Amino acid sequence: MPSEGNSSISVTTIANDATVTKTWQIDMAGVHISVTAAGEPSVQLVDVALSAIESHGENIRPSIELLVTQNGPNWLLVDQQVQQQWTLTKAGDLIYHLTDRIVFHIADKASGVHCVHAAAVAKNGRAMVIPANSGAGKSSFTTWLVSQGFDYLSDELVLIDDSYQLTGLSRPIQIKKSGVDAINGLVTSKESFLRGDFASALAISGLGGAVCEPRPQKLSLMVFPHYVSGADFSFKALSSAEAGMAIMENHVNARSLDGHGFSAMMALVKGTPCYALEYGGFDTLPHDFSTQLSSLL
Amino acid sequence: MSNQEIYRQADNCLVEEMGGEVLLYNPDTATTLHLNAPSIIVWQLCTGENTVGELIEALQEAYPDQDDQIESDVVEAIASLHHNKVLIRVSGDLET
Repeated sequence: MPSEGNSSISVTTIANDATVTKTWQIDMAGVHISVTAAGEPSVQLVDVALSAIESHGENIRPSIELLVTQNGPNWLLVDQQVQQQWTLTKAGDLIYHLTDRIVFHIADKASGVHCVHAAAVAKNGRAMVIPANSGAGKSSFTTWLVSQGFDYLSDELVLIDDSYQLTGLSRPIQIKKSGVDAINGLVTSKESFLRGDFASALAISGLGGAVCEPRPQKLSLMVFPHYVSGADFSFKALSSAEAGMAIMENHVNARSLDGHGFSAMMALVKGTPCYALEYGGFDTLPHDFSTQLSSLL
Repeated sequence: MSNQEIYRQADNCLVEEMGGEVLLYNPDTATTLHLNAPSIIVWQLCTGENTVGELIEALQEAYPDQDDQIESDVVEAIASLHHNKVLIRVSGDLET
């Protein structure tokens, strides 16, 4: 059955004489998406992209359909909803664009939850949300946290319900080209790092880490990261107003919610410890920083 | 900006006071503003009934020790709030 966090996926595999076809049916926050891969290489790659998303045995009627096939040496991704297609040469780029379409459609159509552009990790059922704009170092910081023993929830999109339970879209961590060097030293299994020209996809197993159990986690801490090359480490508590501004900048489905979710987000930041982190690389983080973060959860 | 202009709050704005600070959310533009102390007062006084000049006079009477600074603070705050579409300029039948 779908969990309270409304995150689920089911899988159907059909083999005929010429082509193996597999379909994943994703159900998050009332958004039904099917992903169909045709051909063994496509099936294997989409398996990597979606393997960390919770599965269940129910069929759903999708409103959004995504297709992945091979076209000669390239991958072809088709989004039927918007009638667009992408031709991609590298596995990492296919995983990035495929999961980006899923993120887009969930954020666009989710009902009854707050969609926040954020990464998230957890320990013992208590979650740290890491909201940030693209380029702020969200995925790199998340990679570091998983390498330090935090369980992975998402590097891009979290869904928060009215009781502040959250679920995340657990795709492989997407590392942009500029961030690859920074996280290379954290990767224990190079085979789990699928390279792309725009982004590379890092499976959580490649960090020796784990994905969170498929159940909602209690939101207990928010950290707003900002990577600045050469910057010293800074970690300071935010006022509720500062945190309120920052969370609204990353609230991506406000227009779909009563009162644009403003009052609910303000109540959330009033009741949650919120911090701003600035750092210039993992070597600038204090040696006991992960312990410090754990104690704040 | 003329002292004869009149401003009112945009419709449907949401206000949240947070430990002495105020956030203002405008659903029409999906923007959030973090108001400083002068801006909060100006926002509250812009009811669509008083001219800018009357607001300045009222605040100069309330804070005589800051008399020199108040006019520029009020004009700056109104300009910023109007720019961010949380204040509407009322001028006869024309609203901008």
